[in-house]
Amino acid sequence: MEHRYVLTGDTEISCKQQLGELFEDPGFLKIIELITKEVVRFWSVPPEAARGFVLSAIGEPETMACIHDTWSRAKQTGKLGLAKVIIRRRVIDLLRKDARPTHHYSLPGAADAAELERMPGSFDELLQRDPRVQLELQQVIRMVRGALACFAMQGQVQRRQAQLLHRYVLDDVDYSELAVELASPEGALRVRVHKAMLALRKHIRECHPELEELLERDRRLRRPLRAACT
Amino acid sequence: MQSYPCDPEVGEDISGDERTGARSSRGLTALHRLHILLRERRHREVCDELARAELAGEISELHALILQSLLAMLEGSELAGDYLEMAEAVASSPCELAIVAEHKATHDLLQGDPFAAAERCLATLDLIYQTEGLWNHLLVALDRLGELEAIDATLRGFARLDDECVARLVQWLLAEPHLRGIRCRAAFRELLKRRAVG
Repeated sequence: MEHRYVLTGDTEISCKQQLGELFEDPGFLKIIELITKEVVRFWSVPPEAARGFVLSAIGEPETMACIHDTWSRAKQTGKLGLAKVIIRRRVIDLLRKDARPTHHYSLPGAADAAELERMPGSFDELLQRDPRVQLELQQVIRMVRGALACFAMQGQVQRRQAQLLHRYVLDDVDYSELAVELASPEGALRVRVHKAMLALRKHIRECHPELEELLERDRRLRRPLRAACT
Repeated sequence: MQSYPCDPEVGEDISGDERTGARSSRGLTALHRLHILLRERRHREVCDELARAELAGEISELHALILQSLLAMLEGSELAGDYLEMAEAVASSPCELAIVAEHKATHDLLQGDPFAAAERCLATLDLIYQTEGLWNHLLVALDRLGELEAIDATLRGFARLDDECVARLVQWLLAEPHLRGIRCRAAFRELLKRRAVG
């Protein structure tokens, strides 16, 4: 839940004065109580937290000035309905921003991810049922392939390392097969793959920071590089 | 739970809501779901579903406010009046205003103020005549006030309504537990005959 009741300098004084004036009005306090009750019901939070949320929704200087002005004018006519609607709408808008989007599926937390590791196929199910995850993964795949191609162009050593990573990660060939293919002991192969991976990571960090950020953000997704080939 | 005359649960009319903001099938579904929950007195679920539907934009602000007012009335909360005040500010058409007036009249009756309810019904009926909910509330208010002549005059005045509206109104009056006295009156029996002929 986001709180936006941040005021500074002259605005703070003015805003606080306006809020203070409004708080002296029992009618205003009543509408704050009404909306607070709705927030308590909806978020199942303590009344104090809900009240803080309500004040956050109306606490921005511009909003507060508008509400203060509308409330003062409405008081003169005795028709406070619209002013109350404006206050409630502000809170509803803020609740709407914080609400879980329709058809949203959360990415698994640490415990869930561990569970997923033990459940063959459930990772694929997660991907299949959330188009957003699929889209992000496709983006990662494209960027990883691009970064690998870029890495291969850095020199002879990097080209060989990129080929090794391509076979191991993207083609999903295991160490035993690669050992036969490259006529190299499996232990030495592991070291070469490890070094190639470190070099690629360094290259990504230096030349493709946006990819690094994306990988960091999606670190909970299981083995994105490995998934890139599936 | 005590049953009130014009009990928001017993007397709540879905058709009234259908006349206004339920513009999409999704909205209608959400509204129907809410009314079913309300009839089944599952208030906690009504609260949750109402908040969810309003945030998801599945029901209009007017309906959200009216339903909140009904919940407040059922809880005996004094906030019902504030919700209705907001609903009145949001209502834009005479039809929406009539629906708000119906609920305000219910609130007046629950507050023990039949005179205010009758005045409100009459003022709104001047603008929109074929609103069976308002006629029903008016008759309840007049019955509470003991205005028998006014009740007869009102029942005779139903001759101006079309057959469909009379049929709905009679159905409503027959179901209203607090209007036994009115159902015994000659003018009401005339209405029944008219419905039977129609």
